[in-house]
Amino acid sequence: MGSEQSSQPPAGAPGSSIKSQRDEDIPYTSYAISKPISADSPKNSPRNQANRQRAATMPSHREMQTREYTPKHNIVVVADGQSIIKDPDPEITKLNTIPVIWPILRGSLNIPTSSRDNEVQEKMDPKHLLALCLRYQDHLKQMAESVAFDQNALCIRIKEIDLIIQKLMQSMSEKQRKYAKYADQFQRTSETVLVLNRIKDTMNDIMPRMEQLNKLLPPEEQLEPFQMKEPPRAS
Amino acid sequence: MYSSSWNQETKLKLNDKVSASVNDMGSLIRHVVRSSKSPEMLGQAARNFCSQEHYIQNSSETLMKMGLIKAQFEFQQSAIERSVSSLEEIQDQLKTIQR
Repeated sequence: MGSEQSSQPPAGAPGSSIKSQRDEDIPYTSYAISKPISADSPKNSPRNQANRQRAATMPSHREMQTREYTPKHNIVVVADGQSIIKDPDPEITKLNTIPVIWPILRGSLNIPTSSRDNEVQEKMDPKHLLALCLRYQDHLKQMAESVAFDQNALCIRIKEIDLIIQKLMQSMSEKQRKYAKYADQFQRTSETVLVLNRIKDTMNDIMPRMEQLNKLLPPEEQLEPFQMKEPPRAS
Repeated sequence: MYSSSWNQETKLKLNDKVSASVNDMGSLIRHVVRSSKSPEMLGQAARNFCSQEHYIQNSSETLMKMGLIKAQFEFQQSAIERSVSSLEEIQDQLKTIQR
């Protein structure tokens, strides 16, 4: 009797053969009844037991069908417990691996500050930056002054050189005029040479005639025989 | 520590701060360069140098004329040398005529 009752479904559950009067009056939902409150697994619920009994009695191909049918109380394994996230953009992963770089004054970002801001503000003295900027400014000024000085010196030198070249040009042109005159004068020597050659030729022509004339004269008035000096040999 | 722990607000503020500090650096440097009067002095020097261009051109033209004069000099010198060499012959002939 006890074994019968343990195997049979409880009263009022669907498929149970025992039905009391109370069950017919009060419409128990099958869900409320068959849901176990105890620690029994839902697999041991009366519905599953009924299904198993039915499955055991049915032929084999229907066994597969009922086993595939998942009623509400089976544990459904959705996944392994870790949801696989789709692989994001590699650039975004690289960006995410960048470490956090805080500004020097973290308080300026409205972040709850550690007390390091006050120390940092004491260390950042603007006087040093000012000194650096002034030094750079002074450096630029000195460089510009030296370059401008050199350029001005070059300008003055260019003017001087231009003056010198002008003077040189004047003196050279004067000399050139003088030497042109000298050259013209010297040209006269060639003319003189020509003249002298002509004289020599005419003298050579005259010489025999003069001797003839001299012979014709009476001996008192005869001149000495005309002879031209030998040209002295240039040593 | 990943930067993804920042929220959007800190990122925006950091952006603004960075751009503001870059602009401040630019204006600071511009002021430093302007207050040392280096660009003006250098500009003035360049302008002065450019005004010398006239003188330089004069000098180069004059030098070219000098080259021409030098060629003329050479010509005259060769003529004078020829004349001097014939001077000796003339001296000899004169002596023979003068006795």
